[in-house]
Amino acid sequence: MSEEKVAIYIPKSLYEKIKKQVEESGGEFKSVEDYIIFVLEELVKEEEEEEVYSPEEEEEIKKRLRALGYL
Amino acid sequence: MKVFVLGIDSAEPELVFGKWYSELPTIKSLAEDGAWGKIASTVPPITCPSWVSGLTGLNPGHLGLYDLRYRKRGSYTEFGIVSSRMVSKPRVWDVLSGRGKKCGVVFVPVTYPPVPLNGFMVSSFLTPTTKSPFTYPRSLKEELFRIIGGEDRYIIDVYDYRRKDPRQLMEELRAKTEHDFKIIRYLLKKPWDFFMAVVMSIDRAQHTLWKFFDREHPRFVEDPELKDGLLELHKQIDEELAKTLELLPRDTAVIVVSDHGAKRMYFRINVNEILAEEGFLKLREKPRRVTSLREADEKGLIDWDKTQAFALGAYIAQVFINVEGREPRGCVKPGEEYERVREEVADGLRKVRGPSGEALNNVVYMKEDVYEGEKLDVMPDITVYFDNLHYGVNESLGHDSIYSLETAKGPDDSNHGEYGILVVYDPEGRVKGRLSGYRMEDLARLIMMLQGD
Repeated sequence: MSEEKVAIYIPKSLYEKIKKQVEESGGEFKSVEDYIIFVLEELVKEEEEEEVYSPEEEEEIKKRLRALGYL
Repeated sequence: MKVFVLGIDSAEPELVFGKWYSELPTIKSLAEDGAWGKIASTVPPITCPSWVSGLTGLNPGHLGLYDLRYRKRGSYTEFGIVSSRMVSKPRVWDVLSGRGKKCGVVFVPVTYPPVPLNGFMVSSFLTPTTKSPFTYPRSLKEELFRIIGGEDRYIIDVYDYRRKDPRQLMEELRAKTEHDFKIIRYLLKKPWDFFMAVVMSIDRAQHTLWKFFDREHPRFVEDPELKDGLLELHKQIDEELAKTLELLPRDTAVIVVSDHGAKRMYFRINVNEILAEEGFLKLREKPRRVTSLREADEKGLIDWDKTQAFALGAYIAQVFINVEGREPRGCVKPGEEYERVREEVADGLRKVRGPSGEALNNVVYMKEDVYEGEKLDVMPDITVYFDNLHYGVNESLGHDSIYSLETAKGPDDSNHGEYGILVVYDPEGRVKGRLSGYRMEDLARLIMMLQGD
């Protein structure tokens, strides 16, 4: 991301905890910063009805749910 | 204390604790050494919201979830599929992760896309394809493929089961259960403090195999091979559970729970046909063939400006009043008019009788009687269990009658039941004996209590 950034201070103990999770994430996150941005974005967008499924995926799942009798 | 939870989606207390109790020795011994009873599902008793309610400890009104799908904002019949992103409240593993506990979450409904946690997660049946990122961490997916012998052997769900021969379906469900427990036992070897897995095969089986064992079912079929089909699938899970329990450390608390039960289904009620007949749903033109509500809407057959109420649902009727200011083309004024229209609609549906004129035990819930929370606005205004769930529902239009036996959805033997099973084995004996009064929302607190919170 080339967006302008700002610095924020967090407790060192929290930083250490996150660092540990980043190390255990199997390469999912590159850095603590990466992790924090992901979590905060998740939190901020949670109230939106975000499109998780692509239109094709959504159709596929609806087809299955229809076959299951749910739709 | 470590807590292990096995969810058996749709396991019915009357069968598990009644008719088949002695055939399920693992569940029986957990219950006898611990505690057991019925657990009241959510309204509606559907996989979503029930599991989500159970694991957040919250009423569905806090979550805004009333089905596996939801109405997209600003539309009547444009539906989205619920995903983990819509669960805006922490679930048990979010809280425990925050406290440094290791969590394993496997096949729990409404966990796609998986979210980071202190541990690992494998999403459930709403995973689009095996190509989708359905595990956390992402690399776990490859491990799973390896365990079960390749990506093409990974089973997300059993599909199209209504069109399959019941014998073939049995085989596929057996294979799915075996596959799931293979993965569960593999993952149990990783570090965890809280581990929860949900198996779906009983839910899938009941809709097709119920009529072979239940002599009181109106479509009962005598078939020596399939008579014990549903029981066999229960026994298979019981045996797999026994093998799984062997892997748990001695001081592990165990919960076996279902999100709802099941009961025989007689007919489906074409609820929008009733609303149209009574003038609450205004059609510009009556469809000549069976047409989904979505299609009728797309074709402009519904006059929303004059429609006061419409219903969604396949097993349970969920009625929305077309309220001004809330709905895209709402025409019922909030307040007094809303109350009056809603009462009239509820009254009409409460009086629906069976095809021979027999009285039905219809249960009608008004929104505020069963829901609380900040997302009350999106919840259905009325929920109806026709004949207390012995009758299902169709939302489609263009039927000749208000009753459907076999529908475009295919045959269906059973509906969901309003109670699930709850078995708790606590090595410290804090929970013991016969359980009563438990509700799905209590599950999160129960897990936290056993865990030592």
